[in-house]
Amino acid sequence: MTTTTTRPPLSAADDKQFRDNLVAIIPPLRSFARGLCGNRDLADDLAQEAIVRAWAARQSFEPGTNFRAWMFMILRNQFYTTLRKNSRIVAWDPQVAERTLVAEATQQDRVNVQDVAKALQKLPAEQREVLILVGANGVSYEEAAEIMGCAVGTIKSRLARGRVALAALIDGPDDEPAKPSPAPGGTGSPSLLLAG
Amino acid sequence: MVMLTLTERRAVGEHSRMKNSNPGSGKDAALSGSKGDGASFRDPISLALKRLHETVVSEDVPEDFLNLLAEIDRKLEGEGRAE
Repeated sequence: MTTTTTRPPLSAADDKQFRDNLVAIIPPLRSFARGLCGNRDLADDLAQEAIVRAWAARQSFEPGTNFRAWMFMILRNQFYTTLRKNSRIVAWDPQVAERTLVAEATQQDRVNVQDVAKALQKLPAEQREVLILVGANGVSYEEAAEIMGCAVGTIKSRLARGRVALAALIDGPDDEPAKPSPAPGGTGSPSLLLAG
Repeated sequence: MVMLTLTERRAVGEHSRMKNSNPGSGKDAALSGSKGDGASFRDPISLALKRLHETVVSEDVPEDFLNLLAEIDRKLEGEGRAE
């Protein structure tokens, strides 16, 4: 996907193609970010930062490889970097996420989607990520493994465990308080939004 | 200057809707859980997860993103690379 070798400068056509790829990736990038952090404003900040970083690093993207996986990796890294660096972070507010995530859902969908949105943010980050990538964004196991930097088998097992945990949370007590869950290899909770 | 046109703004959302409405693709196979996770395509959790995604991708792209793209366009134009 990326290369450390020096390549010739990008042509005008390459830059234009890269820019067009950025335009196309914005909706799924926002969706992935929203699923990760559960907050619309923070998610959009993360997605914009990922776009800025991707543009600055476009020389390192190898044309013909998986652009979506490359962008999702940038956003994911940015998400965990933000968590580690920002001390002004508080626990995720499920009511905020529910309002933003299901604003356009139908009445029947709203029941399920609200429950799932709320339960997702209570899951361990590694399970939530794979559910968002594979279940919500529809990426393949192989692409999810590439994005998360793990084996395909790990993706499958995390997906299976995540689905079981999600189902248990949805079927469990509705008034159970959300518990912050640890970020993989990081500190703090992955279910977060910026305070203030 | 290459600006993001109204048509292009709509295309941003349309692109994702098209990508997510192809039931025969490999990616949708993963979405459906048909590659071995034991999940059913129509189970409530899978449908709700997909609905979460569709809700976001169907939103209008916020102005901040369009401004960001316009900034990229200005840079391209400055380098004589705009269309």
